[in-house]
Amino acid sequence: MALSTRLLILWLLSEGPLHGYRIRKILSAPGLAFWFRIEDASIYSMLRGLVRQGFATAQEGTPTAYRITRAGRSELSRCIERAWRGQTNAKEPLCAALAAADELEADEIRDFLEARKAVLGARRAQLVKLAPAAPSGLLARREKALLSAEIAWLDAELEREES
Amino acid sequence: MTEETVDTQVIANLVVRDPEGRVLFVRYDPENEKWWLPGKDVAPYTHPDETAAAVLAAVEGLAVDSTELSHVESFRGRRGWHLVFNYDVRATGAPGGSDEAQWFDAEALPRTVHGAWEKQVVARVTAGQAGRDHSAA
Repeated sequence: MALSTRLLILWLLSEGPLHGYRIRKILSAPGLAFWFRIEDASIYSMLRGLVRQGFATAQEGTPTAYRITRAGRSELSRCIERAWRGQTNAKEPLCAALAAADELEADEIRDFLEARKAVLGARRAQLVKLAPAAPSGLLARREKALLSAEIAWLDAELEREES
Repeated sequence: MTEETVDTQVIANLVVRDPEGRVLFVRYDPENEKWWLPGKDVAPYTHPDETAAAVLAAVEGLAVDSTELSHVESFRGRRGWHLVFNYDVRATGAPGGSDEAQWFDAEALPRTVHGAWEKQVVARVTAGQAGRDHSAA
């Protein structure tokens, strides 16, 4: 989460100086929450942190304008690289629930698989609608591929349950 | 029914080419090594053509031969919804002014602020689609 917030704020600032409230407004724009989550409350503390670390400067005034520094541009490149090359991790709660599969009876597993499939199906339908307004085509295509892969896995599990 | 207001940035974006086919780029932030295509946000109640003319006037030493609207793009940009009027400009001269400006060979375009986007715009304008294609990105 911290890496996402850091990356997104530096990315916005790399185009030009911005006020904190404007950053908050941009990141809470309609449709964006579908693509990535950002904690509203973390924006200002992240901005203060970036200033402390020399990655941005705060131009005094009301409101304060933030400007990226040369070091901040290098930090943005590092954040992007870390996000791309970083290890994928299985941190979503579902992974823990899957580990605890022996808590469930076969019919409960089937119900959960169906429920998950419905959630992902709804998300895929939403994605089709929102894809033209995605922050980037790369992001939209990845999300679509991941959803399709998980739906295919759910179908395979449901088939397995049946046999 | 609730109404949603959208932050829309209207932008005049210029692909300025000289007779040798070179493309003009500007460094609006001297602290940033990346280049921009000449351009500017269109102020409310200003025509994009007027903004394009102002952008060109800010580049000293440039003799403009023609300015023509090439195509319009509409997409989610970094800071909100973008409506970009891309212009095809023919000009000559040694560019200067308060912002660093430089001609680049079409085959060797510099690193730009928006990565591949500027190159796509240049490719589309130079492909001669002027005035025909107004489809969304």
